Amino acid sequence: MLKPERLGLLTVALILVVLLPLGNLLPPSSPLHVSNFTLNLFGKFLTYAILALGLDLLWGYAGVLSLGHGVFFGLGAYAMGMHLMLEIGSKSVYQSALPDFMVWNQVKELPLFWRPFYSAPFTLVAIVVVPALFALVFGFLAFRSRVRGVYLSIITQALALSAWLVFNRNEMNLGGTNGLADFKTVFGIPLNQPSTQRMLYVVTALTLVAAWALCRWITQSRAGKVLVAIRDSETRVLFSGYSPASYKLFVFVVSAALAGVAGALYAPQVGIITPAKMGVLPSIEMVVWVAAGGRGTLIGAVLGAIGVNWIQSWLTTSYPDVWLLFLGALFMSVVLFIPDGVVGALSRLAQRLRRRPAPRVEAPQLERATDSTA
Amino acid sequence: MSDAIVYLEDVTVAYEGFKALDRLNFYMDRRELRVVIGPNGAGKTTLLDVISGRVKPEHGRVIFGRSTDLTTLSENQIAALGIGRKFQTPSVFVNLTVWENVELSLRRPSKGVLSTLFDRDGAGERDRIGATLGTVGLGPKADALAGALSHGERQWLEIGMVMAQDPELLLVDEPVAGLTDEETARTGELLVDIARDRSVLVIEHDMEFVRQIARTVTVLHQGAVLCEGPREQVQSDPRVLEVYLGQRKETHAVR
Amino acid sequence: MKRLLVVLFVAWLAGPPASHAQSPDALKALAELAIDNADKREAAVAVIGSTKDPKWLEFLAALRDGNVYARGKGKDLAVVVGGAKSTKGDAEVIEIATAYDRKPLGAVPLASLVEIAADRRLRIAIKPFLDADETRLQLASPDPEARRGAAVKLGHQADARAAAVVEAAIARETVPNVRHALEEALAMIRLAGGDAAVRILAAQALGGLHSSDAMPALQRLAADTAATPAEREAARAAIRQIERWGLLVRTVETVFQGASLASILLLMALGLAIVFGLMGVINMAHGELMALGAYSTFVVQNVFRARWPERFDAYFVVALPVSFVVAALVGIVLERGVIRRLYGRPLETLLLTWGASLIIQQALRLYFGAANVDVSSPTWLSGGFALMTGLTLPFNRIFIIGLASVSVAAMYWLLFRTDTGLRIRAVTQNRTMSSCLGVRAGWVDATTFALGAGLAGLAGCALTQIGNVGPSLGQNYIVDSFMVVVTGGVGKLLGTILAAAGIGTLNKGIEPALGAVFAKVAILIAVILFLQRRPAGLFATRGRGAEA
Repeated sequence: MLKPERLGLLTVALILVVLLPLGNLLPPSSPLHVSNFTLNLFGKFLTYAILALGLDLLWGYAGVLSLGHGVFFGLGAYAMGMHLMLEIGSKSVYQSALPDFMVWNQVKELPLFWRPFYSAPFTLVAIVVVPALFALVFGFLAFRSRVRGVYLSIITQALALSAWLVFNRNEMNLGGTNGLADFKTVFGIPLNQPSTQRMLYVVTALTLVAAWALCRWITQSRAGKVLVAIRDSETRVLFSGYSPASYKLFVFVVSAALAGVAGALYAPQVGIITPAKMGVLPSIEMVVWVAAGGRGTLIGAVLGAIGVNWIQSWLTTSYPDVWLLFLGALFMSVVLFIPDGVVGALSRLAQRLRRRPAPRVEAPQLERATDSTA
Repeated sequence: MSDAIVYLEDVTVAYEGFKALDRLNFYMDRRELRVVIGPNGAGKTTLLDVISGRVKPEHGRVIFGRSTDLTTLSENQIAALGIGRKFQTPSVFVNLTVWENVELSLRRPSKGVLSTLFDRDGAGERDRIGATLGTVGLGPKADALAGALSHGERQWLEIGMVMAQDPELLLVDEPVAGLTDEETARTGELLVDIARDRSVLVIEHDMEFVRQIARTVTVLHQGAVLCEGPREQVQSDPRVLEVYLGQRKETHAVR
Repeated sequence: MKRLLVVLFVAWLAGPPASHAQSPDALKALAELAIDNADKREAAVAVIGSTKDPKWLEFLAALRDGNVYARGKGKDLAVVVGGAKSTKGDAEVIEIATAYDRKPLGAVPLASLVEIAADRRLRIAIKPFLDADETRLQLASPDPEARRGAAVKLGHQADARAAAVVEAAIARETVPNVRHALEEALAMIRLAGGDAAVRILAAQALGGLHSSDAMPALQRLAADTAATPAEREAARAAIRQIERWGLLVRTVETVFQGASLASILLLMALGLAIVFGLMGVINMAHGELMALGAYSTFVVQNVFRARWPERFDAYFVVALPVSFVVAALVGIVLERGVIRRLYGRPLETLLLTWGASLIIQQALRLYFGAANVDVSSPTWLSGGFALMTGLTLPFNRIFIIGLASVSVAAMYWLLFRTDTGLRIRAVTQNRTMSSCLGVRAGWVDATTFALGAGLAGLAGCALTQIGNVGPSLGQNYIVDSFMVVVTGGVGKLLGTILAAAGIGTLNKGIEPALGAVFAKVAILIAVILFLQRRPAGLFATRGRGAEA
């Protein structure tokens, strides 16, 4: 790690963790005031950044492109959302102990799988374990049989489609298309107060720092080098005595768990979670955050998630028609012109400015689709 | 039998009707340097694939050491047993440094996720990595990315990586393809050196190179052993000449 | 003489019983109509209507249309039907006639009459009687579909008095499926009325006709303790016969639906598989190329509607090549413009084409609007082919099966029987060598990609006949087609065909049990489990010493 990079990292962390919530505490008249809306918006971006870190670990390091991470995000968010729904209790519109949508769907009794979510500790465990377990089963099947490259990407995309279809069904008792919403409290604290939102923001920011530390620890360990090695040549890794499937499974589960945590932090801050958040399009949008920021660098994933979403929130309010065009163009131009993302491009630029003949960085060579000689 | 390092019995491998290996029997001693030659499509690379676990034979047994049947094991398990493989086109980790390439290859008690997460290399490991890099002459480039190496350097790095695995049996597929004469000579010396305390199985096309290193030569033809013996004897075998000369026209037709 | 008697007899059967003509009940009810009491009026309509006398029904029609008047008061009260109105001097006069036989009673001043207004309630009371009558009239309709509909209705009503009409209709009928429906109706009528022997015959007839409509009636009869054992046995036999037939129909139907879905999947996956298999490019914009094909069809349709409305049916024939060409052109632009810079990096191509797909999709949305557009089928694709009782195969589905077969055959021919195909395969196998031999690899890439894109356009054109056309059309199908490609494996068209057939049939086979959504999820699970055994699909090219 170069010194300026470390400095930049610290600055980013300082702004996100300390300055933004402090700015929110300032009176609205102050020029440095950060509005509740902005803080909340950034809270949402930071949850995305947590997810992006995991996705970067998986794609940027191990070269495994998942197009289904929305599912893990959704699982975490739904786990949290279920607890929040149960916290509402009989303060809901229908004044029933059941969530409103169940009353509406004429469900008489709380389904069995909802019950453990009354417990806050259970929920906190579930937001990590449910996505991780799901990723473990899916990943085990996929990696064991050496499904890789675009094949893996495609079946993860099918996973996203399936999850979206299933969560849209009313008979799943998860609120159907409308999802879970109208949360009132989080662990007993009312959600509609700015102080709660500020607290949630700080929790999210600290989680992001912790997630970053975790990812950094993994990438700096020998396991992290094995991940990069898998991206470079899976066969060589295999013949060096490592089981690439185990490593991929490990990083897949870690990234799913991070996505779950991100989702769980997302639900109370945004106040709603619907199946639309876990479909095909949102899942692949997550990939473009990482691509734009710079895959293979943790800071790139964080900045990409925040940056792309910032642009999105601006474009979708000012020029809603343009957003998808912009997103498409972003996909194309990142892949074509800056395959290592903004961070990668900047660091190359910095190196050139310092006129240090840097070792030529090859564009990450991704594993081949198949064993065929095509 | 007790001194065999690897033993193939009645091994058959078929690709879409084409038999790459046809009831092959093959036997190799400990600390032997064996060169396998043969025209294209004779099944040389498939032989290495079968031993290293990449291809599972339809029929037959592959015994490593005293009694380990390799046909039921995966590639990484076979590698952990002490069989190293060097590929035809050099296969190194281009986004890692030369040092890290060797570091990952080093023989270790466990190569599972948990141990690689928590282990840090001690002085012993660093010495071994350094020594390996010294052997292949890449000491000065330890911190360079492997992607920045030349073709010959990559070949040596890969040989170094396989050596770092400390294998009992080393499988080498056409190590000098695309190398300069000087590099070829050095590679030959390296292989002979390695074979002092381990078994090496080399596949080669370059007859000059074969002359340099070979003690015993096996000729494969259509998936089976055509003849086997000391180099001079094999070279003068009329069947070998016929296979090579007669095949010359077709050689390029087969991939 | 004898014949005349028979005809008279039939006429008597068909017509209303003569006794009703002068029905005192009806005449009494007629008077009640004039009383201003809704309940009594309704009851009166019921009495009059239940005579089933055409003349009385005609009267009810007049009542419904507001042409019935009350004349006089007390004992002189008469209910009359009004006719033509005219003006005599300053007074308006109206021709009137008696209620039943319409004997003219001359013209009277309109002011001397009181209209018997048919309110909503009365009209509702009248409706069923007139409908029943219209059903019989429809039996004589020139439209076979109307005749068939009437027959089905009569069968369900199972009114014994309709039997003769139905019999007469059977004698006249020439269209097979209408005749079938009439026979079914007759048997159902007889099953409901008739004595034991007639009912046994009717049950047997229904069994032979595979009448699923008659199932409830047969089941009732089979369970009816009052019926003779022979009757009940006949009913049970018929039920078994019908059930067996139903099973056969459902099986054939499932197979057909499976084949139909498989062809759709195949059409969509074919282009993808070619581009992926020959170029190693995962084209995520394939769905949008399909949407382009669908919108091209829409545009061609609109041009025909505006310019050559009389040749409207021909539009689809023109739309097929147009959608192919439009999609192929966009494909060439994509390939030459961007994709060619990324060969050998499949994951990046995947993201790139996804970006392109978003742009195409949004462009379609901005230009054509976000709502679905309407593409009507040419007449030769609407309707269907009646394969067997209870099963009609829609022409549009048959067409798609045909189109898929032709496309596959054409691809085989192109790839394995032409010089272009030879070049394409050569570049796939060894790019450098082919270039050295004078094959223009770039040109081959563009052709291959255009071919794949064109097939997508063709698929989109075909999809307009069975589904909605909207900007997100591609998104709805893309994942399915990828599943086909992944299952089929790379490089072999046969794999794609088998995978499409397998997934299509499996989907339709489990859909009745699980529903559409969970069937899709089950397919995903099935594909993942399948990949456990064959990670590179059905027909992976096994590499010999291939290195990563």
